[in-house]
Amino acid sequence: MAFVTEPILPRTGATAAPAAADAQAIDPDLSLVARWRAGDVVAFSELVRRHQRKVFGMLARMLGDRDDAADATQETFLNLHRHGHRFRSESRFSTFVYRVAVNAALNRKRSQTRRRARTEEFAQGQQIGQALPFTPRGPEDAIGGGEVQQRVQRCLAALPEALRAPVVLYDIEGLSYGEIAEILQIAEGTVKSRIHRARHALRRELADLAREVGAAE
Amino acid sequence: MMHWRARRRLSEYLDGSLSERAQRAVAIHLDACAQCRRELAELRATVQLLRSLPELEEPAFLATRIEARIEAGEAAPTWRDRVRDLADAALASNWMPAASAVAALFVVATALQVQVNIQLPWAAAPPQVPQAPAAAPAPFSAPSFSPPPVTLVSRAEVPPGATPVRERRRFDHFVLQDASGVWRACAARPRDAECRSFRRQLVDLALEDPPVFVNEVAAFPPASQERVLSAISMEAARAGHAERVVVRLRGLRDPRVEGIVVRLERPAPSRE
Repeated sequence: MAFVTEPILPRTGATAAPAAADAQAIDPDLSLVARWRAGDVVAFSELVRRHQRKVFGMLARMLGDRDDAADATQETFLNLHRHGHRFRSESRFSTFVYRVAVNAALNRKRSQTRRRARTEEFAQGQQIGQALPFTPRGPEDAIGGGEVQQRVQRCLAALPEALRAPVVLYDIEGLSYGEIAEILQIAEGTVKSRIHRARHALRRELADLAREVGAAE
Repeated sequence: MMHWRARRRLSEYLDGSLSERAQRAVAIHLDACAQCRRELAELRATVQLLRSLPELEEPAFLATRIEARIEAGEAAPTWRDRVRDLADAALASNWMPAASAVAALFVVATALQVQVNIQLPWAAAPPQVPQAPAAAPAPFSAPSFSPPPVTLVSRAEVPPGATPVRERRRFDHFVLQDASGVWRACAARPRDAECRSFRRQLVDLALEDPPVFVNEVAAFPPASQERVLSAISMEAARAGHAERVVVRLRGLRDPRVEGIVVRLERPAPSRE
């Protein structure tokens, strides 16, 4: 029974999953949110500075491009400012921010798809070899990092959207199943099932790297 | 524990999110199954690769740019936002006549805007009037009346004997936590994009992981299983996967499969 006592994979930087009732007590943003609601502009700036890195990082992993992620981060905070009154203190403010950010990423993806369709239509009318006005960049150009990290990012980008968001939020952002369910507006069981499917898909794509990592331990 | 069941729990086993009993059952299976052990090791390494991705730093002046756009009035609520806020407040306070009035107003306003947009090409461009720089908008556009607070809890959290949770159709997916809840919400609005995506996911699940699919379907209340399977059958047929779904399901040694397959093969009703 070697596996019973085997330690569970630790999550570095993971957000502890708070019970709903405790969310208000431990949410460090609530005082700033209250000041912002009272009309304090500085409080909103402070909230932006507090969350911009997490939001940008998550969007860069979701969209696979730094420039797109920067634009989507701006959209996120503008939408947050516009719809902030919809935030209820039953959940953490950071969860609400992630939810707005995921919506911004989905909107951006939709507009990218439309743009790409227009580009392809344009390309069909061009002669072979003529430069296109818009050439989508691969994630390796767009985010940077080492060779291994680029490959992981490429595989992440190849996942279907429904699977990518849960695995990014869980394994990279360190959120809990409950928080992800709230952000994506799906059942907790569905979150688990999608993380499971995403990890298996990545395992198949990264099998050689995974074996190297396993052997190095 | 059977091999396929242990295999689909490896991810949760890795996270330690299974119950103590399930965790132990998977561990016992792992002790006897070299294939699952190898898969677990690869999964563990994959997750480590994901978690080793570095935190990305935001571009310089991102926050300053956001503040400038807010100051320029780009985050000001639109008239659509205001109407939506009023409708939400009216619905939350259960003031249905007001909600109906606001909805009617919304429809009329949208129609008027469409008409204006159509007429615009014939009209001369309006003169550019120099405007004073927009003042920073107030962060909230509070509705003119305050609705009573609405507490949304999952069904499981309702203590026995407590006042039953009043379900609102538009809040179903907040109130209910399980897949059958999502379905119930979708049954009321089958043309919704989210619900179409939900049906597509179920078809994908049937193709990728039939045992999990059978469990998901079995978890639906018996009364709604017929409608769920009918919707999935239509979705699979639309995507051209109907035969593959049936073949994948028949490959399982699960007594529940036959009932599901029979209903999947039944001709789809004319309306969703």
